[in-house]
Amino acid sequence: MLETRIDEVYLEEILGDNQDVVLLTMPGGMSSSWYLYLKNFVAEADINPKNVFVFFRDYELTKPLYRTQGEYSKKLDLLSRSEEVDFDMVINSNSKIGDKLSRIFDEIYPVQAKNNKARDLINRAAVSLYIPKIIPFTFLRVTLGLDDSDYIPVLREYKKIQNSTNDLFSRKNFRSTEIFDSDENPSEFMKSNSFLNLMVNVSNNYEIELTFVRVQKRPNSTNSKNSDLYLDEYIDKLKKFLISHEINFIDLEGKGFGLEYYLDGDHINPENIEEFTEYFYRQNIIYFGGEN
Amino acid sequence: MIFQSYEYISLLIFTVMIFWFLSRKLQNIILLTASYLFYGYLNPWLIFLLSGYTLVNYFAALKIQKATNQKNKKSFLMLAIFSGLFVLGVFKYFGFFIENITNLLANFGFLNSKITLQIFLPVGISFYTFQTISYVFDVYKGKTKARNNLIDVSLFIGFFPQLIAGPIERANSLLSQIETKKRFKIQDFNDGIFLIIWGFFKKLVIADNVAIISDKIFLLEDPHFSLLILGSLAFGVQIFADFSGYTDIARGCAKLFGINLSSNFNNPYFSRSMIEFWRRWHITLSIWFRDYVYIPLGGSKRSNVRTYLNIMLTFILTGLWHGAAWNFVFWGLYNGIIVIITRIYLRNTNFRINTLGFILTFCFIHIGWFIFRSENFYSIFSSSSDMNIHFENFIYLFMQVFIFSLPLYVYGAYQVIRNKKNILFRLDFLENMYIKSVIVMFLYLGILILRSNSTSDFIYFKF
Repeated sequence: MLETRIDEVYLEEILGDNQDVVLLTMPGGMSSSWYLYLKNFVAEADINPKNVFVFFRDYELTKPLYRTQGEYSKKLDLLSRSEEVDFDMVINSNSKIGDKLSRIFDEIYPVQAKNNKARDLINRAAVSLYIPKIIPFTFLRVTLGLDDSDYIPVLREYKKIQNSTNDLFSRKNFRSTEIFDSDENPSEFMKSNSFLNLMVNVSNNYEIELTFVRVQKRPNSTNSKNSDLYLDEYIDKLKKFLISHEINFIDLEGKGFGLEYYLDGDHINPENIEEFTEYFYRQNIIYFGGEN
Repeated sequence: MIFQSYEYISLLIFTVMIFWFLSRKLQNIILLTASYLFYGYLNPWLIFLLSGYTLVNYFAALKIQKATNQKNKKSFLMLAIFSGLFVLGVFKYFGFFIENITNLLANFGFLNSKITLQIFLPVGISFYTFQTISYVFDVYKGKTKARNNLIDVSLFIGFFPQLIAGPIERANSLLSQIETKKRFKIQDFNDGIFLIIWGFFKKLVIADNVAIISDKIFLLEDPHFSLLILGSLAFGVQIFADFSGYTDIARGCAKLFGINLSSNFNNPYFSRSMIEFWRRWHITLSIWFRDYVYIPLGGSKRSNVRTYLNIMLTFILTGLWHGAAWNFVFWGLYNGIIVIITRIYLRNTNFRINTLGFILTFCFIHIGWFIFRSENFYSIFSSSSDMNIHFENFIYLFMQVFIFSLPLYVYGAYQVIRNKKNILFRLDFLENMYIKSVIVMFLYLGILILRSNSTSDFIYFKF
């Protein structure tokens, strides 16, 4: 989520004094990847940042299995060391029989990881009536390994149609489905077997200042937000939990940066990222070493 | 438990592995155990509901058979039917009824606020209610005998592959198979695997991928008319792939136990009239309504007006069977009107053009799907969309729907050509076991690579 929210170059410019901003992102990554980044790329890499910000939404911090299978499993492997005892413990203790079988299946059939490429091929075939040139280029790409950069004008036309089609839905219709049901147990984050607890431990053990940033709640199909008492109660308890462990918490829900700045229910419009970066810095200057 | 879960696949493999080493009696006990585990996996209370249904209908059927006079027979039949319909009514229609009554009272100022009840709907209840009604009704009519073996009857009502979304079976078909010792046949096994994989391909690759487009369109507040057409086309592909996929998986799983379930679809989108469509779509439900509603009402044996009334009532009930909402009632009404018009046309003219009939029927079906899918379809009449949709966007979405639905139409065309009697050559290469195995491998690969990232429950689970 961070990737589509913060402009690192612009933030470095604002911060000045040769301060570096590093974005650690895995597209679609959730709490499992945030933990691995924090442990392997910050703490154990002996980098001592002034602050580490983790952006999350709703119940994501305490849903350890979410996005750990299929294509995500391969991506997480790249972030892992040869042995990840705590990581495996969290995954195993949360897995039901179906989840375990699913992981075995992923190991047996790595071809599943080609899912995104196959979908891209179908999308290209779908625009071929309008951009016939895309077929020979795609054929050469698949057979001879032609690089995407070799046919940028055609690709640009393809992306333009894709984006304008997505705009039909995304501007008027934010994603309506919540990732998780709202009737989740509000005290679930207190369980020791989530990546939230591991991240808190890493922060305390390595003395890293950690800040969890709750982003805007995802709106429903009519661009409004349903009131959700369970979620409110959950966030309230989460906040108390983090404060009791000396972890910072920033809640952006309902704050100035409204839905009109969003591309869809999840992502800030690329044109507004710089503005959001500045807004985020000004509102939370204290976490960047400044004074309110 | 849902078909597209690893728990279900594990249960199926485990049950099949021990099933073939058991005696007939033990075979049925293991199938019944698996069925109850399947149904009660997420909500164990459902097992009590299913057992209750089974016991009421088991004893009612025995009483009907033993009753010496017609009056007693009828009393037990009514008891069984109305107890089933009462439970179905409470779970499925009570909330809808209360909501509409309170709406009406609120509109006239008798109530200050409208009341909405959220009643939990036990999955598959519409299907097994109808199956149990057919059992006691057939016993009453003397078409089948009441069975003494409670395990056999329980399995007939709760057989897990078809428990949740059919096909709705008759005692003469399924119960008689349950009562006989099953013999292992490699051909059945091969056919079963093919049906299961083809069913999963339809659900996970075709239905779930097309659903992304149709869901997005039907969520729009004020969509452009061209998008509504596309949404209906996409939903037509989705619902067919979803429901026929479920049926194929159910039939395939049953074949692994040596049991043949009825076919529910016969290339419905190749129909040349709406009458033909209803003979090809959800066949077991259509036959159920024909035998237990339309014919008892008098069918077509009385005056024309009475026949049309019977058709209308049957279709409205068919619509209402799908769910407690006005769009389903209007969908039933719409189908009834089109079928009556078709019937009048076919009786009064000899003019037939197959191609025109096919195109018109395809349009009628998809207008129907629009009513079926849309929760506030009346908004189309007041549509004032200023949505800016370009031709390339429409083509891009349309082509995605077309590409995903292509395997459905290719397989459908193959079946149509294969069944042609006067064709010069027999196109039945798919019946070859080895070719079938190769196709199964390709379908399996297709599922792994092309399955949608977001899968949802089968649509008919809601009914």
